[in-house]
Amino acid sequence: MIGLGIESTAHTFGASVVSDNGRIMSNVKDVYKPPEGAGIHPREASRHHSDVAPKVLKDSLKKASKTYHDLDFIAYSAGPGLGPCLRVGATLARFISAYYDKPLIPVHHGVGHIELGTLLTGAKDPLVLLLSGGHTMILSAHDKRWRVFGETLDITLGQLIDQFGRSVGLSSPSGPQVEALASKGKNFVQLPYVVKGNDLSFSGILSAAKKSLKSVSVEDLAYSLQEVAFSMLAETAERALALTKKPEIMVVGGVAANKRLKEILSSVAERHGSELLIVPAEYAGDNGAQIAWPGALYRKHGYSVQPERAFIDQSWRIDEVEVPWRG
Amino acid sequence: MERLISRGAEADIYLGKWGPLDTIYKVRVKKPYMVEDLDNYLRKSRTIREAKMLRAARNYILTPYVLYVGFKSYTIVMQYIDGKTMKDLINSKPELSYVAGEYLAKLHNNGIAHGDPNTSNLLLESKNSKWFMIDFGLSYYTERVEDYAVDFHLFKEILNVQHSDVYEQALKSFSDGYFSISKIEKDRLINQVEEIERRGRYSRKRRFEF
Repeated sequence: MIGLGIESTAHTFGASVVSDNGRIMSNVKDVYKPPEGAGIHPREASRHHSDVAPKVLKDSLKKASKTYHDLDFIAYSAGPGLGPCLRVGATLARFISAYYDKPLIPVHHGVGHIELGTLLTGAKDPLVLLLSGGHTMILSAHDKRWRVFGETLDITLGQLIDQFGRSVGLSSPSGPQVEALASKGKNFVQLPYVVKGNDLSFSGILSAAKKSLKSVSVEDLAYSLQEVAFSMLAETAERALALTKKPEIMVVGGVAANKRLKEILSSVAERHGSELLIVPAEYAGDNGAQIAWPGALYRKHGYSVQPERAFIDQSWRIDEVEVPWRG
Repeated sequence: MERLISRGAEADIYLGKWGPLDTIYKVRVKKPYMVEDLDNYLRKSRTIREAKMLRAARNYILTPYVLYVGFKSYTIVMQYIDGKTMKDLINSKPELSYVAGEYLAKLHNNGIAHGDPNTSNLLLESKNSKWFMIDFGLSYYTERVEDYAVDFHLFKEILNVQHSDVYEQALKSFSDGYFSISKIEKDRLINQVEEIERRGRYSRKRRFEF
């Protein structure tokens, strides 16, 4: 069985063909770039997606040496994300599904990051840190659901870094550039460290960092911001590890590419005798394979929806998603 | 100091002696990954906070006696409670969470937020069958309903993730226990809890039906 996955949650339009034994046969994407200092404009991003979609889809099938007729299912990212962007992927998926008469499967973007992560790292029953643009969550699977151990109470770690980056004139997504700035920082300045039980709050760091821009160098601020935010995350990860005693800790999502975060989390894992597994950088950001692979898992369990009932949900919560393969 | 009995998120817990007494040594150890300034600040402030709030809370609920506070070694020596955690008992007896609700409401009625309420932080002492609450490192004085609602939300979250098989019943007992004591109106607190949960990244809306 092989299938196509379409990702269009935010700035990335991606398409991937995977087989049900976990072979990623193609994974093509095109990323919308907003102007420097600005965030994603949902309408502009959706226009970008419509423009690049034909080529991305075609390249993805060509790379896998398949045609639409060969596919056994079509999966699309149904949320959470930006409405106009999600609609591009969903509309295309509905059309392909109806025209070629293929089963259609809505996939949760966050579940996609996690399941692709377990496929690529070989994790069996990990404690998961989901660190994408839209999620900062600590989860573990139980009884057919990914359950949330702790999460941000306001903005995500990705948004903290990105919005700080934008406020100093970097282009979005600015993670790698902020990381580069941080590596040049030397002096630590205290920023609000807010951990509430297993939950986190990052909005205070952002306000304080923006306010300090006049008196502190950008490098020192980027450095301090990373240190405080990552230490908070490390603490909540430690809490979850102490409580669950999971043997593996897996990091997925775009922020997983940050080297300093890796260093911190490997120290956490070592302290608790767990193994740290990080999704390969190539698959850390949004991509089609994260949608295609859960699509295959759903299909194996006989799941699909009729095209007229294939919705999108901009604020679909991950702990509401049934994942029948996580018994 | 004797035997390491558990390694928590921010401290190592040793079982030891203080004179003839069995005691817990809670040591906030250095985190190798943390910037030194931040690490020292957190260890110091939380050691002080925990010692202070353990004593403050004892006016209203049972907490271990604090015997010694080492500000330079970031250590608290306290009474050892021989018993089991609510975490280990609740899956077969979900109604136990009633006590958690009562204890939390007693603290809130007196202007204290626990900051990290969960089923591992309640111990049932074997000898006298009495509940003790521990882990006050994130506790603080507050008069804001928002802060009480965060405590309520945190306990609810733990029930959902760690005790999902008995979630409904355990949550009901917790809530019943809480509102049997709380001075805050039920509607007001629950609204605030929902507001906090909505503020999170994605609120509950529609569920996909396959």
